[in-house]
Amino acid sequence: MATIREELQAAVRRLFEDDKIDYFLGYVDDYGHTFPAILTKDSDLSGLTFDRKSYNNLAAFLPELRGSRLGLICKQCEVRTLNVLAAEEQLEREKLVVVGVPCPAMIDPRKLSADEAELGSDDPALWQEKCRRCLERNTPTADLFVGEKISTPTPAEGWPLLEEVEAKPAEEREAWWREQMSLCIRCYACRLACPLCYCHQCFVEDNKPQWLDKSVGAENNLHYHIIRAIHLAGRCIECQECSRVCPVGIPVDVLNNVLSRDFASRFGYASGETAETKPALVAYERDDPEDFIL
Amino acid sequence: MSDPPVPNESTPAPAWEPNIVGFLCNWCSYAGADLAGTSRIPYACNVRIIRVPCSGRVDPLMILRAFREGADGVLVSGCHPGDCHYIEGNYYARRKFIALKQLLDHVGVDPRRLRFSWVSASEGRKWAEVVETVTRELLEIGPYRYDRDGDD
Repeated sequence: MATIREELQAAVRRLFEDDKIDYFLGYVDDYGHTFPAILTKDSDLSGLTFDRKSYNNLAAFLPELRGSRLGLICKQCEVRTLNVLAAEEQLEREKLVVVGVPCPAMIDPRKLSADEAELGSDDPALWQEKCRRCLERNTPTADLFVGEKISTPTPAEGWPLLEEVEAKPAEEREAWWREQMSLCIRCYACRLACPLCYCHQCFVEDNKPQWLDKSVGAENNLHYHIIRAIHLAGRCIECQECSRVCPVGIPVDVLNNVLSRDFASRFGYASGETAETKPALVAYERDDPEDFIL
Repeated sequence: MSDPPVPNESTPAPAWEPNIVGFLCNWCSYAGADLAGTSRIPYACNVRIIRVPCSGRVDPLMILRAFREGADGVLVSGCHPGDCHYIEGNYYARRKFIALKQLLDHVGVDPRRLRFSWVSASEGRKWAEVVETVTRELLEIGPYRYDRDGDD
């Protein structure tokens, strides 16, 4: 029985040999880390892998590879991203070869001890939050599938951190967010890692008018994150890359989750479910709730 | 109606008054506010009005910037659903406002600081009532001060 690693490498080699793709977007492991890599037909494929540390949302690399024929590994994070991109007409699906994989759920590196053996464990307590609420573990839209499908369901548990923050009274919530936001150094790693922040020019770079101070400060930082959450309203597919890459550990995605959850209950809306779902802010219903309007 | 007191040395400086920034759509609410004025309906003078083409033009960035520049409250007003001059601008606006309101509530901003209303061009009286309500509520909750610790 071939391992997923061997199957994956064989599949990718075949894609290159059959001249189906120009690039392959996958994960390579080295020095105990797994990181995303763009491979060509001349690349050494021996490092190509898919494991519990394949955190990155590979769809974030799509804009720079636009126009080329591309193969990429898709776990559910990428599947939902591709659906949103397709709905927004940002995707050349016919140029993509979606390689499906059974997703073993990603490990949260902060919960992992130095003992690598834990990587084999199937304990959801070690998983990233997004994986604990993910409902689909076997790429449904795959063009070709490698490995064996997983049938074990995930705990499907919701938004524990968001609920924890919400349980605080308003003043404490404000203080908690102020503390988080005073840490932000506005490195924009969240924006860079986000597969749906693909604007050529972001509002934070605007000069006329300059919407936000470019310097760091709790209030400006907070407003940056609020506006970013609004720009992702009904689009965010909760891959949590923004939080994972944050160098100071702000759980940025909590703001996105506020809207994901709210839109799901208000408008019966889950982003990235299908390639046809329009993002919630470019659609409306005549009888949308307006109990808050005077 | 009595004339407002003329400030002089014997009357104490007025207590704090809220600063409210109003974003009013050109076709309904701005005309409604105009009607309130030409009909001589007395109402609180705390709203500084900015005329916008449509409530759909109001970007959450504008609202947040108003707060950063010292507004204690923001009031956005547009045409009633179905009456939009651009057919559907206020429907899109409504969803945007839901999103912004959710987020501001979540980060601990009092929900009464950000208000939305539908005021048509014939509703001068309603405009006056909306402003009265919003001003009264803001007087209750006091000035908006975000603790700008570490900001310059």
